[in-house]
Order: sequence, then structure tokens, then C-alpha cells
Amino acid sequence: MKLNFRLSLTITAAAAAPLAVFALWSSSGGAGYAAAAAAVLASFFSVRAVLRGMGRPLENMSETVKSFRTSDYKLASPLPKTGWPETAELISSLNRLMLELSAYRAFHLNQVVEERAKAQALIETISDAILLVDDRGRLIHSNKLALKVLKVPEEEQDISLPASVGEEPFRPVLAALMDSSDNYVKAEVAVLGSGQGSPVERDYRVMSRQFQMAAFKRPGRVIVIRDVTVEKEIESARETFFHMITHDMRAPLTSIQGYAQLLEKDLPLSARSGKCLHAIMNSSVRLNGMIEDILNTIKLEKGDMKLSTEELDANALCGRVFELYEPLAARKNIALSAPAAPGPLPFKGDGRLLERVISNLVGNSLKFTPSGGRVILSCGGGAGTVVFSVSDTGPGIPPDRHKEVFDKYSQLEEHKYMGFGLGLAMCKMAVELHGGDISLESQEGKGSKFTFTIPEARKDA
Amino acid sequence: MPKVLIVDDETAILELFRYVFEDAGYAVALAKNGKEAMASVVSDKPDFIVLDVAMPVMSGKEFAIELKRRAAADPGLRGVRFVVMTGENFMDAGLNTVFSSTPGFVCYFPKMIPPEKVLEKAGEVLGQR
Repeated sequence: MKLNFRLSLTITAAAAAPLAVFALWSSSGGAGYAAAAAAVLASFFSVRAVLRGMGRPLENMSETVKSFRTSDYKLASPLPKTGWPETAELISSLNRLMLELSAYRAFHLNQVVEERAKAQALIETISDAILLVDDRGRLIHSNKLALKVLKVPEEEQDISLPASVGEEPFRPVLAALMDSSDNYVKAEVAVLGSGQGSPVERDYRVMSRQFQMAAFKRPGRVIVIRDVTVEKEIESARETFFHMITHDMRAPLTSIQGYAQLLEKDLPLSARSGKCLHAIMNSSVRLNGMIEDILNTIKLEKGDMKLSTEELDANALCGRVFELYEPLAARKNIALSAPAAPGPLPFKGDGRLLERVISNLVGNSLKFTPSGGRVILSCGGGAGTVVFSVSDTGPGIPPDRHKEVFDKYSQLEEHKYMGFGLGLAMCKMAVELHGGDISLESQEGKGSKFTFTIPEARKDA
Repeated sequence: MPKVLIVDDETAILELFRYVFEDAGYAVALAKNGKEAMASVVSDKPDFIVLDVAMPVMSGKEFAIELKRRAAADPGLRGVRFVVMTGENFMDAGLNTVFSSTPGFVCYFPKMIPPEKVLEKAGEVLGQR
């Protein structure tokens, strides 16, 4: 309003000045000249006022904004606040806008550069190869190690997986991974590297997870490639060690068992010595069982296990395990029971292996159930499967650990050093080899129940 | 005219704050790092400081430690009030302990907060005296 008022006043003054002069001097003959002179003067001052109040500052603003934009958003110096008050205010706001734009720009650019540097420093420092690819396999980001491991040529500009990968064994794995729609994918790759002299094999584990790329609104993948050569060597050394030690332990154990049986037959035994001999025989059976578990685990893991399938009866199998563990349960003051299922429950399976599975479950329950508790071993049938279950009144297993108890060497923290931690892993593999399933129901403080099923007749048996 | 010292290694940020504070009638001095800031504190005796943390030569944290050391000997320096404006996590225990134990510390501002907020705080702090 003010600005418009000032403008109209200026223009009206310029237009009205000659009129006023003409009216004042109308009596004299020089009125025409005077009015013309007044008009020239009035327009001169009016133009000057408009230029000073608006025109020049506007020109200045326009030039400054132009140079601000072309000089990478840097303002050499703020514009002087000249002209009419409204113009000065506009200049001030413009100054503010330009200064803010350049400050925020500088700040955000610094932030981005710094965040990138942090991320890069992190991924370059860790010993895994890391890649980020989009859904078409094009490389978005990686560490140097990744390009080295995958043998991506250094001069390659537009890297994409698996096309740019020079290390042949990775190609099929990466191709399958890019095709997969699973969120998490894991695979192993063995690469025959050329070490000094003889070629060395290196083992890699490839792990990948999807992530959502905001910029593309499409899922990309994070790929981590870890050198697990040493891990595998240790694992294999451990297996060899177990193999050796169990093999060597078996021979003396067999002679303990054999001679104990011989003594039982040949000697007249007193009640006391009979009990001792029975304990020796029982313990050696259990020890033999443990050795068998280790050997079975190794064989099952390697896929070398061959089932010696025979006709079995579930009741008889449970009965044998019950007899084996009854003395131990009695010593620990735990009520072990194995109620027989009505009627025979015939099925086909590897008797020795399944006996080890049930023994492990019962043995575990006895190990963790406190004195005065109960352990029930039961079996049943129906719908073409035989079901075995072992339930106890022990401390139970936290829900978040239900899956991992079946992993090798997995033990609850408080049970460290209580056995090898192989038992349940072996059970799972043995049951699955029979075509069955093993599961766990447990509530903390209320005991655990392990249940496994075996098909009555295996399709391929 | 109250005196304000703006400390930041980024020229664009210095210029923005200079403009806003000068517009509000303050006398403004600028410093690009803690060392320059310390020199300005000694020579100009500002009433209010806006301090960045991550800076070359001498960081905001080192500046605060130095200010605390000098203020122990020179009571004149105890009157300087300052706010910390940083893009870093100011809840970080290491930073927080240093600043909150320095005489004159007022508060933190996350970077980039609109300069008016800092101006408002300066008015509030200096008006109290």
C-alpha cells in the first residue's frame, strides 16, 4: 500500500506539476514555457525518485542473485539496504535467503561427505568383502577387498554382478543370489587360488540380505563375502581329533565291557560285588553311547551315515532305554517312567541310532531335572507315524533358544561344561534322516517336552 | 552495543550469523577455530559466543577447556556466556561433561537450527544481566 501510494504520488506529481504552473501563471503570456519547464523538472525528479527507490536496487538484486547462482551459491557480500523502506526490506530478506541457502548447503554437503567418509572407513577396515548392489546386480558401493576377492577388473567402469566377476566359482552363486527373492541367502564357494608354488583352496561364505533403496524404490542387496578357510580347517581338525580319540577309546572300552560280562558269568558274586559289576557294565554302556554319538554326529554331518533299517517296535525300544537309565534316575531321586502304549507299534528304522536319540533325550532330562522331579518317556502311533516324547519337570528352556538348542555346540550359558553339546544336534539329524521331525515345547520353570516322529515305513526303505 | 563472537569453520555459516546478529543490533566478531576465538575473547571481551565443536586447529571442546583454565586465573573471563551449536551428538558424555562444567555455558543447539533461535537465546541471556 505504502509503495503504491508513493508511486502514484510521484506519477501524479509529475503529471500535475505543469497544470499547477499553468494555472498560477495563466495571466501572463509565458505560462506555456513555464509549464513545459515544470513538466520536465517534475518528471526528472520523479524518475530519479523511482530509480533510487526501486529501479536501481531491483537491478542490483537481479545481478546479485544471478552471480550468486553462477558462483556456486556463494554470496560475496550482502546487498546494501537502499531505496524505499519496502525495497530495503526486500533486500534484507533476499540477503537472508541467500546467506541461509549457502550456509545450509555448506553444512549439508559437509555432513554428507563426513558420513560417507565414516561409512567408507568402516567398510574398508573390516576383514569381510562387502558389496551393495541394486536389484539388477549393478554395483552401488563396495570395499576394495570385495573387488579383489571377486577379481573384478580395476579398469571396469560399470560393474554388475555376476557379469563383471572374474573369479569363476563366484559367478553361479551370485547369479542364483540375484535371482532369489528370499530376504536372506547364504552360500559357500570354494576357490582354487594360486598360492606360491602349489595351488591353495580358499573357502568363502557368501551371505546376502535385501535392503530397500529409497532412491530407486526397489529392493537392493547387501552382500558379505567372508573368508572361512581357517574356520573350515579348524572344524575339520576338530572332527579328525574326535574321530581319533573316539576310535582309540573304543578298544579299551570294549575290553572293559567284555571282561565284565565274563566275570558276571564265571564268578560267584555276592550281592555287593554284583551291584558293583552292574554299575561298571552300565557306565560302560553309557560311555559307549557317548562315543557313538560323536561318531554319528560326524557321519551325519558329512552325509556319510547309512541307516541300517530293520523292523522295530516302539514299545520295545523305549523299554530298552528305560532299563538303561532307570538306575541313574533312582540314584538322582527322579521318577522315570515309560508307560507302554497299548498294542504293538511296529515301524522301520535304524534301531541303534534311534536308541541313541531316545537315550540322549532321556539323559538330558535326567541331567537337568532336579531331585524329586519326574521324567516320562512315552510313545504312540497314528496316521502312519510313530511318535516318541520325553517330558520332564526341569527348569525349561527360554522361548528364544528353542530353535538353537538343536545347533551343534549350542548350550545354555548356565549349562556350560555339561557335556559336548552334540546330543540334540545329533538327534535332529538322525530323526531327519529317518524322514521324521523333532520339536520342543517348553516353558521356563515348567519343564520341557521333546517330541519326535518317525514314519512307519520309509518310502525309500 | 552488546558484542557477539561467532565461531565456526564454515564461512557460509559465519556470514549468515553475522548478518542476523548485525541486523539485530549486535557488534559481531568472527572466528574460524578455537584459537582465533580465544584471541578474540581476550582482545574483544565478547558478551556472547556461538561455538561450533568440530573445527580444525582448535576444536570447540579444546576451546572450552582452555576457557575454563583461563577463567580460573582471570575472573573477567567468567562473564562470557556461550552456546554450543553442533552437528555432533551433544548427548555424548565426553562432550557434555566438558561444556556443562565450563563457566558461562548456556545450552546446546543442534546444527542447523534457524539463527533466530540463537538470537532469541542471546537476547534472553543478555537481558537477564
